[in-house]
Amino acid sequence: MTQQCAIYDSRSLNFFRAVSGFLPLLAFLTHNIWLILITALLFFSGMFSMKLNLLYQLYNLFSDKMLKQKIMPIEKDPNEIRFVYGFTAIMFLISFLLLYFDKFTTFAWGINLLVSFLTLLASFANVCLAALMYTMFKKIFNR
Amino acid sequence: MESQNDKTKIKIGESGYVNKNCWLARDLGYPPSRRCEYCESKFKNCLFEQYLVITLILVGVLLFVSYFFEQNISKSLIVFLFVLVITYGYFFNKSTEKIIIANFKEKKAKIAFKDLNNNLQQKVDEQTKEIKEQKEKIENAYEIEKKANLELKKLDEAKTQFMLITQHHLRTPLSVNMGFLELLTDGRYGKISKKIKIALDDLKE
Repeated sequence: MTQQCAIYDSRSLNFFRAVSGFLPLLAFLTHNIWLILITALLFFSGMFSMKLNLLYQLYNLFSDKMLKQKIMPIEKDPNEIRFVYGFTAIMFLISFLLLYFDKFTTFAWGINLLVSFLTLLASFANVCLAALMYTMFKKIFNR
Repeated sequence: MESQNDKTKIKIGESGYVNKNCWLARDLGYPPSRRCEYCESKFKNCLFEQYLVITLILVGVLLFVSYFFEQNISKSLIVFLFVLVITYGYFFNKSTEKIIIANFKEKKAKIAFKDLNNNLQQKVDEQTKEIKEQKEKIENAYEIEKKANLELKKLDEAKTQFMLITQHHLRTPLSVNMGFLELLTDGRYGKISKKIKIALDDLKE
């Protein structure tokens, strides 16, 4: 069994998670649904390529040029990243669309808060539920 | 690109180590997070997964209870829950990571100490064996020397005996001769010429 893995910067990943977890919370507190859309778009862009992940690249640049920090490498399967980001983006998009069309608003805010909560947990406690789901799906579909 | 075969050679504590006891790490083919490089536990014993499950259950129960009693979930409660869980999660992550790494280092040190102890015992055994062999050699050499000494003593005694006997056998006829010479020079057997006397005196000396 062979597997293609890529090396990412752990700090930059966590920064992206922290910001994209904080934005939906801010959206809930200010009732600004556009912040949810922005978060969904951030996740969508990250899904296609890490080069398009603006927050990741921004922190990478900042830590390299300003903080002079060494990269904290972490190995990840790009498919896992794609799945996690794609899944999160879809959840935020569903939440945004429900709120935009004013349908099941409580449910939509619930999804928004739950995903935000899990994203912040992944950032600060390093426990990623979506990665667990990815592994389960991988096991089920035997990819 | 790394193959699975290369990963099996990576030891615990090294970058990229895959914990074979954990199905998550095994199925992913790489450690899910940095702390997993030091872990050997099964997934069901993973503290972080337990933390995640318990946190989700507790938050769900708390929100349900809040809604049940007040027919509303306040924003402040949600912010409070977020801050509490995330802060607790952050420090839990940091401290647990430190404990996992410390435990790993302690285990490694214990193994190294055990190896050192075994090596030391082996060295002591080897040196004891060497000393025993040396002792045996010295004892053998001492025995040989003792025997040689005895032989030498016997030889010395034999030599002394020989000398005494030889001395005795030589002295006895000489003493008789000397006695007769004395009698001759004293004139017991008649007068002797002066020349003969000088010759006999020289013979005596």
